[in-house]
Amino acid sequence: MSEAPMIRLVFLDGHYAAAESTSLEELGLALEPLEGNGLRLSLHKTLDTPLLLLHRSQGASIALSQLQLHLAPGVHATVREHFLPMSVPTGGWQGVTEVVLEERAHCEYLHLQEPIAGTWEHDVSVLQAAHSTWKAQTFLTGAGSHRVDFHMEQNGIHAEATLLGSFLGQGTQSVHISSTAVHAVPETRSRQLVKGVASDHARCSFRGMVHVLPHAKNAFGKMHNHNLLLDPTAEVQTMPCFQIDHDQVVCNHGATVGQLRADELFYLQARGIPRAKSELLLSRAFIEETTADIIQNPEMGPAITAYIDQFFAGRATMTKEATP
Amino acid sequence: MLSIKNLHATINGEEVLHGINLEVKEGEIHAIMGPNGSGKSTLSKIIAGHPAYEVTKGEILYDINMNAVNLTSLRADERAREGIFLAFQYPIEVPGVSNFEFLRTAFNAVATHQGAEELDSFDFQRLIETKLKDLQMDVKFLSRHVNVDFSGGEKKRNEILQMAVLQPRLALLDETDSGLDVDSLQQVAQALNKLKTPENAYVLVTHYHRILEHVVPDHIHILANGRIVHSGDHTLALEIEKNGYEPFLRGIQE
Repeated sequence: MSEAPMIRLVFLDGHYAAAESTSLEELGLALEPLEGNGLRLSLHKTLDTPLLLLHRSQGASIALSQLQLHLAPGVHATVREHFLPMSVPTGGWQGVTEVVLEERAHCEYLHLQEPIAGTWEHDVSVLQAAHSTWKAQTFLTGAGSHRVDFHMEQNGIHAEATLLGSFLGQGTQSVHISSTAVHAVPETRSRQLVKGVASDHARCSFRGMVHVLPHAKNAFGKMHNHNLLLDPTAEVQTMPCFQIDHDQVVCNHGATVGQLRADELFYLQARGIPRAKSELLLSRAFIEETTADIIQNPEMGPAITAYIDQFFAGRATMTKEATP
Repeated sequence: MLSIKNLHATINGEEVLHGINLEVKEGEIHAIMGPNGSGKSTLSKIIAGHPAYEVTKGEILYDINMNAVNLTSLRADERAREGIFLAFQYPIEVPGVSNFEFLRTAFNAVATHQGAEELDSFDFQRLIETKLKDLQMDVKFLSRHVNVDFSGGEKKRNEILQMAVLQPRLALLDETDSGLDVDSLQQVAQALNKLKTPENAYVLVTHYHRILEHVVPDHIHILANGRIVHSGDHTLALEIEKNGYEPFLRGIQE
């Protein structure tokens, strides 16, 4: 089953490449300039096809990207922001993606980062009005130095935000993720689940925050980060935090860093499954919860599955440059 | 098939088996009984190759292609591929791994080692559905994650399903009857009897004689303080039920 065609917006080193992108004019859309290098895309009606924001590098000394997506009331959109493998020279790559969801707008956002050499920093933020929903999923494969910040701000009643994240760090990569959910008004919900795997000498960290402001009665905030260390030389730090300024809320968090369980390994091996295969099955199972949807995506699924398998087999290189 | 000679083993530096001797022939059923903490489950795990235990003395000889191989030279997965199966006393949950994937991976690992062909998902599905039917188990078992949210009885039946799929030569059944109600016990016992052949052998660890009424052993051994202190035929179970272990422990040194 093939995926429906997508509306492609291609960015080379942060700059919009109209010639390589879908014609927005034919779709009745337009990119408006923002201050600096920024662009805004406003959606006034639900898109029939997913929107793909595809980032590549042509070797500029520095890459800066600033994009705002604005969904009008009631509009639904599926957005994939995809960073292809790239080598970023000395200046690094920095970007900001801001999503504004008006009342009852709904956005499903897939954030996919393939291996990047160099420094890569990305801020993703969403501002939510009442009854809007934000469902974000991120799959990060590490960079020379890598930071991504997710910021979800719920400014309208019954706004809901979900972030499912997976990161795989290997070699001498560093992966640093922060995720913040701000409950500014009553009756809002957020859920953050991030799973990380670190091998070799990777250095990874997760910093999570649920911030409930004084007027946010009945806010529900859940945050979990679980990490798997495949080698004794790998390192993960996890820092879940709450700042709760109202008495009547439900918030919970959990964080773990550990290795594959010896009893699980023995159980599989006691059935004849070799140790390496047992480790692969258990490691894949570990991140299944946060990657199941991505893997089922008919276009990206096979490449992601292959990458995951190769990562756990200690040979994580992309088998092909994934081009949608 | 299995010959254990003067087996001594430790865990965390403490000796837990103090010279076990046991001979198991093809086609036989041996039951291991004994007080709590006597080393019954420990013996099963050591034969299966649990890494927490260290064999410090003695041998565990197992017949592989007419050669007596000391199992201490084989890892747990190698022993399993040579036909040794441990039905766990407390089967663990493995979240994220479906029963189907787990069983198929295990089957193919054993099959290819024994010279048979791997089965793809389609062919394995057909094989497993036959086994499920024989064991009166629902096909929905396959899509569930291994032992996750299984009842106690379901976990034990899942162990038997694995045994039916892998068809081991030597099955170590560690308190397979514990936690089972009367009906579940009968189902498990029926399944074990169905899987029993003249070519395979069972070593059945249990506290109670009730399963031994259904899966009748050729030999019963009483294990106490890490040693076999008495052996007998199937009638020994009733004797234990009537008089306890105390008559067999008199004069046994710690």
